[in-house]
Amino acid sequence: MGTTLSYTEIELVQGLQARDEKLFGYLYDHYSPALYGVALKIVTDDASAGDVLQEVFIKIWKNIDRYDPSKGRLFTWMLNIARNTAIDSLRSKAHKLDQKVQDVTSANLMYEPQLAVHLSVDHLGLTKVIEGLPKDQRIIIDLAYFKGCTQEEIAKTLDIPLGTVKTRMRNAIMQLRILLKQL
Amino acid sequence: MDVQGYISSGILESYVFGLLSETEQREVEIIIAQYPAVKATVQELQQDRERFVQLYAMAPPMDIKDRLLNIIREEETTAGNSLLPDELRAPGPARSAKEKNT
Repeated sequence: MGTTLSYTEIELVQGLQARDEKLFGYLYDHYSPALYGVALKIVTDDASAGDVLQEVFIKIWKNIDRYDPSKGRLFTWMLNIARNTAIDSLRSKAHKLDQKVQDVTSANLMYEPQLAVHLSVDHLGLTKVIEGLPKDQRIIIDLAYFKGCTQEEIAKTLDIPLGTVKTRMRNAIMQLRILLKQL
Repeated sequence: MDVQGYISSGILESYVFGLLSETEQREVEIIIAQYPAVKATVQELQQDRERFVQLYAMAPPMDIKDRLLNIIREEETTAGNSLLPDELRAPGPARSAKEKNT
């Protein structure tokens, strides 16, 4: 996608800082599918993902002065906002859910729907990448990246030692990199 | 520091994918600032992650863009400000005026 952009990231950042609405529209057109995809993967329902996306773009608009190019590209920064906003939304929902169900089962509830999503997201490239991961690594990626679980929470949920979680996570992401290079 | 050892330890992958605790994250950022080779690896990983999430890309519902444009156009007004989520209602004139009144 980056190659089809006719604005450079610097131009985009400067435009946003100058409160340029047209540039904001351009940014939305070019990045919203990716950010919406991230939101949808995490919160799993269309309505919440739409709310998350809206909040993400408002945060981008309001907080553009906090973007620090030395820490990474604009897209990376936006992805971090999208992931964090979606996880916050998920957590506040999980919290409401907690009030109705037992603590122990909520960990499972948070985790189960994710498996269904894997099956329903029909994207050739994605399926290839995810299927390439061993199942134990895939679960860790799901819980950590898409559910925002800490390593301690994952250890508890899956009932495995913390050290194992760390090793599997490291292996999973390294494996993911190798798979991505083959696409 | 053993730069190559650090790079191949896997911690940078976890950093880029946002899986570290805040303390660990800050530690990594200090290292990144010190070692160009580490920084280069992080940049590569960030691009991998960008590619990774593109696999999930999906067109959002059509009405969101218009809603957003309305919000940012009105952001300096009280009406626009009230459309924002709490934590973003902000350091604008609309807010301070309101705070003084209440």
